[in-house]
Amino acid sequence: MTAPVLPGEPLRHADEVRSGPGTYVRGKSVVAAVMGHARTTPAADDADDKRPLVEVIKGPVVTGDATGRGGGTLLPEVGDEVFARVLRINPRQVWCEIVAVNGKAVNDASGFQGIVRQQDVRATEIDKVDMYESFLPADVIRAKVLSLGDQRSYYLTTARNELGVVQAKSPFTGEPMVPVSWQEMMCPSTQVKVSRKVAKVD
Amino acid sequence: MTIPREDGRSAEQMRPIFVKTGVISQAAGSAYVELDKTKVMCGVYGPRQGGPGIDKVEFDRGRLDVDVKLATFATSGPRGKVAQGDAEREFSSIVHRALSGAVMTETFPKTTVDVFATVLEANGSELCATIAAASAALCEAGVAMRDLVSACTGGGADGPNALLLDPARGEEAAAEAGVTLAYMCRLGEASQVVATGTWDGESLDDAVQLAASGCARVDAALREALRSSVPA
Repeated sequence: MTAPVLPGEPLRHADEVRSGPGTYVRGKSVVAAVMGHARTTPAADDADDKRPLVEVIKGPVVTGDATGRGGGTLLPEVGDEVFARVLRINPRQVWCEIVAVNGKAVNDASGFQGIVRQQDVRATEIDKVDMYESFLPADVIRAKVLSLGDQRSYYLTTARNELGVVQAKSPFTGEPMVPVSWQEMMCPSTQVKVSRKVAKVD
Repeated sequence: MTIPREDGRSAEQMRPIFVKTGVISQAAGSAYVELDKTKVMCGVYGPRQGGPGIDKVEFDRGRLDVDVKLATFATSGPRGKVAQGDAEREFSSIVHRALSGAVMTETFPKTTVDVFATVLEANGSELCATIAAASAALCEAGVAMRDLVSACTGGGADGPNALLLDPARGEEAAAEAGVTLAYMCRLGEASQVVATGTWDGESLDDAVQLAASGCARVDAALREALRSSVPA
């Protein structure tokens, strides 16, 4: 295990490596910007830039682990997969609260808000989407971050098979419902089907 | 030249510095710094969504909010709450400027990082201890910084000719002039210099050099404390 690095400490020569998350370039050096362990990943075979990527990862680095994100704080970024809880809904969009980014829970106090707009709910017939038949408050959805969005919110999308509602409670008994198709979920006690934009969970 | 100091130090000797990180469990990062009897606690929270107003949200960078409080029991003698409020505001803005040169706000767009520091006991150089504590707490919180910021004060009891490093409270009160330097030791860049009193170019230069040597000591103490806190 290599020694931990701290902000301001030079890691490698900037000609040899690319600067990844948690690092920055100053003069001819790649310098650590956060506290943690430096990790060097070889460039992909088809990449134009053949230099390996250097990043600094907070917490333990498992050899061969490519999932841990470099850099310091956990913020949603474009392309990230997030879990969000639906808060409010209107015919054009739903507001939700992001609770996890790439499988990691975010801090309760951070309060990152996400919006799924009507055109981002599903991939086909996007103008015929009925928001109230897709989501309801208290549903937990899996979504991808489309953009940093407006002042308040990140824009999210559920327009893929594996994205959509992953957990919804029965309006009758409050139990978790089971998915029956990509558009319906069923209450296990009353056998009543309710419509949702259901995520295909493996 | 030897100047007798109230705690028996030599003119260019710092007080013992103690740094401990991870002292507030709810905070994203926290640090406690002691310069002998000067004691400061600092917590960093966030990044969290938003800022003070919806119009002030910036898309390419985040915000750093700094709030420094002087505990009512921080100083001995009568305490004027009104004057303390002014001191706190000035303090906060100096600490904010010292840190904002180092914090890479472009890494947390649209969000705010809060820094709350409390001076528990003020026995001279509390500004330096606060800057050091805040920079250790930010580092522990994983906020991207160009370097750790250390700070140190050089002051002259008999004017700029007899410089003292890291003055204690009595020496600070007697000093006619002082320089507080916030310095990024690894980069060799100053992020904030506050000079009070009358200086000429040469003696100011000496004082800044002296303060920079103190910053190096603070930097070493911060790095040692932080390095031992990194999980293997």
